[in-house]
Order: sequence, then structure tokens, then C-alpha cells
Amino acid sequence: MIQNPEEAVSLVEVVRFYADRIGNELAYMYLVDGEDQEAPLTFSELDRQARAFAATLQQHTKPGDRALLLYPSGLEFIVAFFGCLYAGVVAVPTIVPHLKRATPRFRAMLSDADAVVACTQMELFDKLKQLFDEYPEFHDLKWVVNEKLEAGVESQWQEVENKADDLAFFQYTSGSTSTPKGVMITHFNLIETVRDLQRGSAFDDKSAVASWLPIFHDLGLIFGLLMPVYLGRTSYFMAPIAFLERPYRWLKAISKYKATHSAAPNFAYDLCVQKVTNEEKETLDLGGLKIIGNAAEPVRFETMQMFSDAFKSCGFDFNLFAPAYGLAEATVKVSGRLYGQKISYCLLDSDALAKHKLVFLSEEGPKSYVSVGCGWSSINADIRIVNAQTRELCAKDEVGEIWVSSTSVAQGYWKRPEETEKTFQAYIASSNEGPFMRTGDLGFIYNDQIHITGRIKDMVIIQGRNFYPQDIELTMEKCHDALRPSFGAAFAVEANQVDHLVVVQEVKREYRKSNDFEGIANAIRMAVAKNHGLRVQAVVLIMPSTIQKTTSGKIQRNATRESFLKGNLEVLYEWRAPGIFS
Amino acid sequence: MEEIEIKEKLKKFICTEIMNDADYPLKFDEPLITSGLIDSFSLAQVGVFVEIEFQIYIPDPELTVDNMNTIDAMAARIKEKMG
Repeated sequence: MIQNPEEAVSLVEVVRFYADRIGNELAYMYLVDGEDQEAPLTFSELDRQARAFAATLQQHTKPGDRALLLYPSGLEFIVAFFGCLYAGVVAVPTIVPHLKRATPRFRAMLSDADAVVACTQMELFDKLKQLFDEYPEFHDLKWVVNEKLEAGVESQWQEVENKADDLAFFQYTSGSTSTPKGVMITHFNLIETVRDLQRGSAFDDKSAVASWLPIFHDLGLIFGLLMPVYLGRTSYFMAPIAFLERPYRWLKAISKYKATHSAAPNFAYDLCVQKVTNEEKETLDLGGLKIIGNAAEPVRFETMQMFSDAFKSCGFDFNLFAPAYGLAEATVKVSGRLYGQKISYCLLDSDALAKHKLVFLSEEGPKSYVSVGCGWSSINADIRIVNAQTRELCAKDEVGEIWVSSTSVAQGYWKRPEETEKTFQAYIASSNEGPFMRTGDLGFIYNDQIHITGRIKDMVIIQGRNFYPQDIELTMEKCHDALRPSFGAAFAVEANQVDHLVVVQEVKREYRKSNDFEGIANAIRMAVAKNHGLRVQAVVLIMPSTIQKTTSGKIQRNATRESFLKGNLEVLYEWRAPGIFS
Repeated sequence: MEEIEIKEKLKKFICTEIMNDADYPLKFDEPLITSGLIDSFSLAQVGVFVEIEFQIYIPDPELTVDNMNTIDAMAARIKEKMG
């Protein structure tokens, strides 16, 4: 047995270590209703149940086989995930398919992963069985259900020696619906990422995490559930729906359990500002936080300021925010603001930025853009800014693609050698340094921090100028009170060999019967023209809660574009420039 | 709509919304873009204003500096589109 988690090559050793030393302490506390109903799991119970689960898996699998994990949030998922690690089986966490019909995405994933086993809990299993007739591939799987494990089966567990470069789990990327890609994460990738998160955020033997993030999503799984285990500490977690129903519950959990660490995508902070009442604020003490991550979608300076102002009376401070950046291909994290560092930001000229040039401004103006620094790696990652076309390093005043080489970079995409080579085997042209993983994200390095400006594939290029869709979306949502912030998409649509800007935006529920949609659309057209020097050629206002987002809440611009082209949007009002779109 | 009315509306929009100088004595034949009074990106704003105000559409290839450099030139094009 290891003497120190720093020696471990896999999280199995870490759990075994703590089960032995501090077995009665709490590893997890699942907040069943997001509030008072608690389900605890100690380190020794985690170890015992993981062995039981692993022993059952070992009856049907050999090391290296894949097991799908279909779970709602809860302790059963955790036991299954560790059960896979204990059995040397590759865990494939997935979103639970819609219970009336298996989504194409889910079926594509199932077939891509070649899973031999699927794991779930009783309640869900009873519902999933209804899909068996329709989808024989479900029927053919061997199902392992937590509640059906044989009593005492843990004694049959055969210890597996996980090596550093053995596969631990797959993370399926959001990608396009039809071709989800499984990012292959090794045990060493996983534990190095846990170390990266732990060091960067100064998570220590007095810390605890509170999280509402989805368990099948990299940030929720690794930051929310696995990092605390590394130091023998507790993760207090709830289901995303508990948070979305009442955002107060998240902050209450931080307050009640004295969580020092948490994280969420930018939209969650907006939601808290909108939904948490003054009476609720009086019950919150956020002064125990050391760091709160803002990650998994573009980080907005304004949101962090608004949240800080709104929760100042609860002991919150702007400098608790840790803007961070990452992607599944780097397990989860590339960079984050280090504990103890101040938040760094700079003002850029947005016209120059459109040409991938950095021009720093000293004060805000109509064309200034606030860029927030997303910190750096805490595991000595080699991070470069590279011209995506020439594959040469960018100059200091240029925006380029972010390339990463580190111990957390995944092994590639499962069964996709060509795409793996393209993304994971990039070399700098003249020096031949590498291999680097191409993130597909654009950014720059300023004051030793990574700044993200957008994604290459999302870039809108019109009349030779580059636009970041999120900038246009921000302009749009701010121009009229009827528009729902963070629920708009800007993208280019080609017609007659020319790209045109199209925007799709949800209106707020209370405005869905507005009699002035035309005025709202006009406001959008005017605001975009004014701020970006660009005309919108189609504006579509849609019903609330109908824009396509990924499971982690990111706007799906490509999917929205497809819906626009196919006429599948839930349109409240539409304006199109005459003669452009057929 | 008379051409003079179109010109007055354009003048008011350009001075107040783009130049932020409502009292500027802008002449109808005064070059706007080539003189640097407004920059070429502002043409997008002029384009949207024209679309909304006069219910016509000027396609991108026509929304150019040489077509839109004076209020006179803009008004002539608008008048033509209004038919």
C-alpha cells in the first residue's frame, strides 16, 4: 500500500489508503433533495462497495473492457465509477437517455464504445427495461445494478494492478450528435489532473467541495467528486436539477457544510444573481470559501462583478473567483487562476481582435473588450499559442490556437486514429517540437495567464473579418430587456457563396406574448451593427427553453444553425433580409 | 416621402447616433467616410437604420463607401429603392 497519495498512479490506491487510515470519515454526502435529506458514504464503505461492484464486474468482464454508466446523480454512480477502476474496467459515464426514446447520440455512443456491460441503479433500470424491446442493443448488454449485488461478493474481488497508462475511463465529447468521440483517459491522466486541480486551488486537509454539477461531465466528475478524495476530504453534492429548481440550494450547501471549494459554469452565477432573494441571502455565509471556479463556458467579467456585488453581504469577494479553462481532451483542466493570485484581466480593442491582433486599451470604450485571464497549469504543462494555418508560434501580440502538452493530455479518441493524429499529434512546423494537443480554442498569453477568445470552428468570418460569436451574443442579450441572457446563438450561414450573420435568441417567458417582436428584433439589428460594424441578415426570436445546449450548458451553435436551415426552431418572430436565404 | 425628408432623417441619425454630436452642421454633400467623420464600420448602422426607417433593403455589395459617402448619395439610392 502507498504511504502517501503523491505516490499513487491510480485513484484506487488513494481510496484504499484512506479507507485504511480514516475509514470512518466522510468521503461523500449526497444531498438527495438538495437540502436536508442527506445520504453519507464513508471511505471504508466506499472501498467495500467498490470492491463488491468490481467483483461483480469481474464475473462478466476482463480488464480493459468498457462499462457504460447510466446514473442519475447519487452515491450509486460513485460506487460504480470506483467499481470500474477497482476492476480495471474502462468506465464510460453517459447522460441518461430519454426514457421514451433512446437519443441518436446515446445509441451512437453505445455502439462506438463497444461496451459489454451497462451499469445502473434499480429505479432507472426498471424504466430502461421499457426500451429493451425497441432497442435490441440494450437487451444484449449485461446489466449490473447496484441494488442487486450479492451480499458479501466483495470477498471475491481480485485486486487489479492498474498501470499508469492503462485506460481508466472515456469522456464522450459534446461534438456533433451523430459522431460522439470517446476521449481516452488513463489512470495517470486522471490522477495528474486531480493533482493539478488540488495544487492550483490549494485544496488541503481542511477543505471540502460543494457541487451541483452533472456527474457525467468532466468538471462535475473530476473537480466535484474526485479531487476531494485525493486528500481524504468530503464532497457534498446534489443533482443539477436541484440547483436549477432553486439556485439558493447550492449556495446554502456551501454555507451549511463550510465548503472551501466549488465551481460552476458562468451561467450559474447569473442564475444566482437573478433567483436568490434577499431573505435567502440573509441565511448565507460564503466567507468560508477559498476559491470558486468559473469554468466550462466563456468566463464573463461582468457576471463575476454582478455576483460579487449581489453576495457581498454574505461574505463573498470578487477575488474568490478562479476563472479556469479546459476541455475533455486534457482530462478537464488546462489552466486556472492559482490560489493566492489576483484575477487578471485586460482591455482589448475589439476591432484589432477581429483581426487576431492584440491592442491593449487603458480605458473602456464602445469598442473595448474585457478579457479575463484563466490562470496557468499547476503540473508544468507546456502551453503554446500557435498559428493554426502555418503551425508556427504566434508573436506576443497575436491571437492563435492554444496547443498543450502535459501529463493530463488524453491518449486520443477511441477507435479514431486519424482524428487522434490530427488533434493529439501536432508539431510546431519549424522547430518540430511536440507532440502537442490542439485544443481548437483561440487565445493568447498575457501576464503568464491564458486568455481564451473563442473557438476556431465557431469563428464567424464575414467580409474578411473575424467575429467571435459570444461577443455578438453578448451585445444581443444586453440590447433589450425581453431577451434571455446566455440563451442566444450567433453563427454564419452561407448563401450564394457568401457568409451571412444569423442570430437566434430566446425571449424571456414573460415576453413570449409580446406584441412588439419587431421592435425587439430591430433593437438587436441596430445593436449588432453599432457594436460590431456588421449587419445581421436574419433574426429569429424563439420560445424560452428551446435553444439547443450541450449537457453542460454550452450553446450549440452548429446544431442551432442546422435547425435554422431546416426550419425546426420554435419561432415567435423572424426577420430575414430579403433575397438572401431561399 | 420627399427626398428632403429622407435627408433630414439621415442627417439626424448620423449626427446623434453615430457622431454623437447632434448639433454638428452636417451638409448633405459633405463626404462622411472619406473625410473621417464616420468610419466605414458605421455603414452597417446606416444600413440597418435605412432598412427599419424606410422599409427597404440595401444589399451588402451596394452598401459601400462610394455609394454611401454623402447624405445626397444615400438619399438618391433610398429614393430609387422606394420606387
